[in-house]
Amino acid sequence: MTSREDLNGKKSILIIEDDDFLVTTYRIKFEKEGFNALIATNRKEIMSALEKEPPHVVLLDLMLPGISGFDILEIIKKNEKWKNIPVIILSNLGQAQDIERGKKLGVVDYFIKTNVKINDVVKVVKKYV
Amino acid sequence: MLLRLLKSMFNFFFDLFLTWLPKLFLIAIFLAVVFLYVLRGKFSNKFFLFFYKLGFLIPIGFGIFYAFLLSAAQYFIWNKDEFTKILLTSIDENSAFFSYKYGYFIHYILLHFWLSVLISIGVAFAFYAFLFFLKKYRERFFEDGEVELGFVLALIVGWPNFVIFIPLIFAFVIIISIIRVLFLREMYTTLGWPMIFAALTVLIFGNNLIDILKLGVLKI
Repeated sequence: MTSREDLNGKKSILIIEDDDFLVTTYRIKFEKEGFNALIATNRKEIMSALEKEPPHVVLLDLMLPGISGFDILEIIKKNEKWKNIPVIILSNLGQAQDIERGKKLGVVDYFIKTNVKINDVVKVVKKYV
Repeated sequence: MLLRLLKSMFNFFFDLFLTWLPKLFLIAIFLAVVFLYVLRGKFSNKFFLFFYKLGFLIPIGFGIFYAFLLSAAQYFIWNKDEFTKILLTSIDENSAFFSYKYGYFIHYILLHFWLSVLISIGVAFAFYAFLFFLKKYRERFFEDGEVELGFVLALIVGWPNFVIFIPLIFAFVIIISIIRVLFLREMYTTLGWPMIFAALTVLIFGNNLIDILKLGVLKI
């Protein structure tokens, strides 16, 4: 068990998403797949979740209330403790510039929500934990 | 095996299509608009004028088509998986307008795919009205067809890029005026070319400018 695994030996995933329905769907799905799903919907919750216990992987929505997903990505990648956490972006619109920017900032994968099944997201997440 | 290969190929190309379609379309329509603007004095036939006046319908039509495409794609992708199927028929109890079957899905697509298109159309019409009245009171700011040009360019840059398009027009009015006075000895500049250069700048650097100016919060 690594220091970041919880007492049951589960890997943790931080889901950063502000849509209640999607958050619930992802949480249930990832818990069913054996993950410890942590949820954050705004800057305060994100920082608190990262500081408490860095997750094994971050699933990041680009559109968040009051802060852009890219700002969060920059915060993660600039911090020594968090910079190696794999970040996967989930976005509504697959804008070319956003994908390029995400890659430059070090995201390991990028999904457009209109073209990815939740099972495929789980498969990719498992690849990085 | 073959089916999986075909499926991943389809996903790859659909991803590319969703990613690049709006960009390519906007560049194509922008080039067509500039071309028509440059040639507008050379053609006086009714067909040309009719097309020029109704050109705004193309970006509006595309915006609606793209929003529809994304909505349909979202529906099919959620419908493919037993786990996400429930999102389609869910009731959105958090909102009084969407507390019925399919309410959550309708709320989701309106918010994520349709709202920016509707705002873009709304601000472009407001800009058109502004230019229309400005032309009435300050005829010398415009040559023929420039009100329509401004309208189509506002639709092309869309929301939230429109917010940086407006100050850029003023910046280019100053730059082009100085160049015309210095090199061409011409005292007046109309809004046509400044609007074109502003739209071009927004199309190329819009995302970067939005980030630099910390306007990302306006993105929907």
